Amino acid sequence: MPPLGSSPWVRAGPLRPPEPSPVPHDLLVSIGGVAARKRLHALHPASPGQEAATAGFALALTLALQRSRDAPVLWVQEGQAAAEAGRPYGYGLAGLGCDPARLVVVAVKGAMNALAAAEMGLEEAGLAGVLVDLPSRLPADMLRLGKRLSLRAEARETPCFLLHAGCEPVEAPVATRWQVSSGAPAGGGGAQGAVRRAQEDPTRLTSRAPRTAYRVPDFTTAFDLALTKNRCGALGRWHVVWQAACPSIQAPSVACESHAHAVAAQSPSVRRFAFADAPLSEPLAAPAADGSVAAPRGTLLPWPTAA
Amino acid sequence: MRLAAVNAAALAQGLTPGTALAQAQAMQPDLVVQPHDAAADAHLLEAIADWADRYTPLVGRTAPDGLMLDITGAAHLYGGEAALQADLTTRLDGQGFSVRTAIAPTPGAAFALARHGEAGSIVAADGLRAALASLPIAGLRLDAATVASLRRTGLKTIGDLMTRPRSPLAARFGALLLHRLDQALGLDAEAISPRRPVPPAEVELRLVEPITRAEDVSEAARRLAVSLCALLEERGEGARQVMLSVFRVDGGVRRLDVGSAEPCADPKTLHGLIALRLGSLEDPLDVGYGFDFVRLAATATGKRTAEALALPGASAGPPDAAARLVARLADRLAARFGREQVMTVSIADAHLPEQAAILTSRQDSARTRDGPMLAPFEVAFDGAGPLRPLRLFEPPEPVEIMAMVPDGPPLRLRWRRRSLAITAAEGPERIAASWWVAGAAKGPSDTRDYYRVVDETGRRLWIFRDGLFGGPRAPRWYVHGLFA
Repeated sequence: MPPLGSSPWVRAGPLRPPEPSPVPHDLLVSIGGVAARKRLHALHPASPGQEAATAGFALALTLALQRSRDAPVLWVQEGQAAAEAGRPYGYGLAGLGCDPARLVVVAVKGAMNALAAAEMGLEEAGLAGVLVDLPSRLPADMLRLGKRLSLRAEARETPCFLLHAGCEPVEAPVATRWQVSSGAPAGGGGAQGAVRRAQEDPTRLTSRAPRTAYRVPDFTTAFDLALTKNRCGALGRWHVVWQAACPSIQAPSVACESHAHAVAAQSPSVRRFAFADAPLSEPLAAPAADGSVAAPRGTLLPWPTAA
Repeated sequence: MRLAAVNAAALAQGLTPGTALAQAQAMQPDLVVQPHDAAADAHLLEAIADWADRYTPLVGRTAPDGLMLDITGAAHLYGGEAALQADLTTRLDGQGFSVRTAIAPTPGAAFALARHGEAGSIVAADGLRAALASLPIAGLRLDAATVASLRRTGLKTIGDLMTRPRSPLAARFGALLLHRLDQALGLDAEAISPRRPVPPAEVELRLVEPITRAEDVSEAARRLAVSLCALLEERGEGARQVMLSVFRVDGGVRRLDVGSAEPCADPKTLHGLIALRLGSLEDPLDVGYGFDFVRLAATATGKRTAEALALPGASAGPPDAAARLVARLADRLAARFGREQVMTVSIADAHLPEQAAILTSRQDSARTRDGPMLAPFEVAFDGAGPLRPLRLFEPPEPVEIMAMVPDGPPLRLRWRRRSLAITAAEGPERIAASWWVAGAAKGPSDTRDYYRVVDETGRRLWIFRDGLFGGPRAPRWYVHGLFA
């Protein structure tokens, strides 16, 4: 895998490097490996406000189980759930390693319609997964409706994830049930007051305090998981890290190494702004292996508009 | 107050529209009077025009209370003009309307004959002059003042005008008079402006026995889909949008729209979409006494691409297959839940996060796809995790923030009635509105400082401070999204 952010001018390497996930995490093994594709899964947040974590983990499982890198993902949003937890955001999806062009979002009113939309998605062959944002109030015959979904999921081998807005588990005939929250940052940071000052003032091009003066908080996507129901194996608890660059679920130790690598490779002057500030006396960047020369530091980058 | 309209019985008693109400009541003390509701009349006429759509797609309205149907090429479907006229008259009679009809080679002549000629007259092109000659001048669609002054000069019938020299008439009464005369005689062209655009292709099914069951309607739609697709196939086109119209025996019409992202000429797919739409109506079809006429029209068509025309065996590459799967899935969902409910992510050339990547309904995104496209999804991700949240709040939710120093990083936040310590924060990332575009900075302020923060429950939020210290008003904080 090429190190991320090896050039200060490119924000990150390609989002989809070629190699697939090397070894499946034991979490995937315990839910039956690729057989989890055929199943209905329910996820609920461990505490209020963790709705993004449930959706993120459902997406992570979808990507870890996917057969092709461009299969569409259907995200069914119930109106109330969408208002409480927010709408899917394209750049955020990309940040998790899922091409936003794969996403189809359907907004519906009421849990019944949400389940009907999910069922329509599961009727199509070739989807990578179906995510359903469910409101906290569920229909009474959730057992029957869930059974329908799980039969469809099995027929089409498309995983379906029910994301419950409330913190109590969904009463449905699901294969696995997860309690999800965003994981504590894996390495570095996480302590009170660990603040990374990226920049005081973006219009100031002078040098600033070195970043090493602060501990860098880690925002690598991580999940604390509790598997509270599993038809195919043992229950368990995991702390896993999602590697967006090579879509895979990894143990923190493995991920920590590659994360440290990525952070080390990242130049301190990496910015999200169009300016790169550094002493102008710095030499020009040496040609890279492929012969391309990075732009000299301190120059104004082309403004990001279409040609 | 004056009488706006009278029925046949009142007419027989000598009451005419325009009579003063007091005078009418003096003449007929037991007269039943209702206030005139012009809007309801217009609405009813619209409904009749909708229904008359079954005879021809070209239906126009003529002031004040008439309909003009262009039945060119449509009469043979009913076995001739007389049969069509009889069918229309019988059906409208059955619905409780009294109707006067006329069929003529020109709209002007038809108007004059229907209002002033013998009811139900059919005039061919060679008998046109003779038929019009005896009709009063009021049949020419002129204003009342012109008709009155013509009458004063002794000109009473259209025939009187035909034999007069033209230039004195034009000099005295204006060019419109001769224009109307020529239109009636077919010397000047006149087009009917149809109420709805004429579809590029349409097929219809007339039923001898009205159908009432949902399965029968679906079956009718299936047959129509087969013939419509055959029609489109010949032209190398496919339907992007179709409209199914079902006509009730008693005059009601229901129209259903179904769209397809790819031009579709496959009867099975088309029927599948229609069936989904029929099955998911919020207000079900009102069957009444049954439907006796069903029409399927392709209201928007497109040329079919090479991929769509590919042989069934020779499948296209996988990326294309995925795009088509998205299109098919979106079409089916749109048929069930409505077109605007199905969305995909589209990228805009904007800096504000909520404008940079937006969820647009597929209809809109197909329209804007030619616009400037950036491929900046790299910015979504750096070595320390995603830079943008997975879920975004629209609009951003206000939050209370405490910081050590005003400009410092946030230390505590109060959001959704909970006060929590912030354990880690990163920022600021400054994002400004497009100040270089005139009128873009319409919001309360144009500068935002974004932070990624983790609170004590482990929740990861994307928050921003709106505005600058020392600015015109105090900065405010918002939660804009949640990270996974």
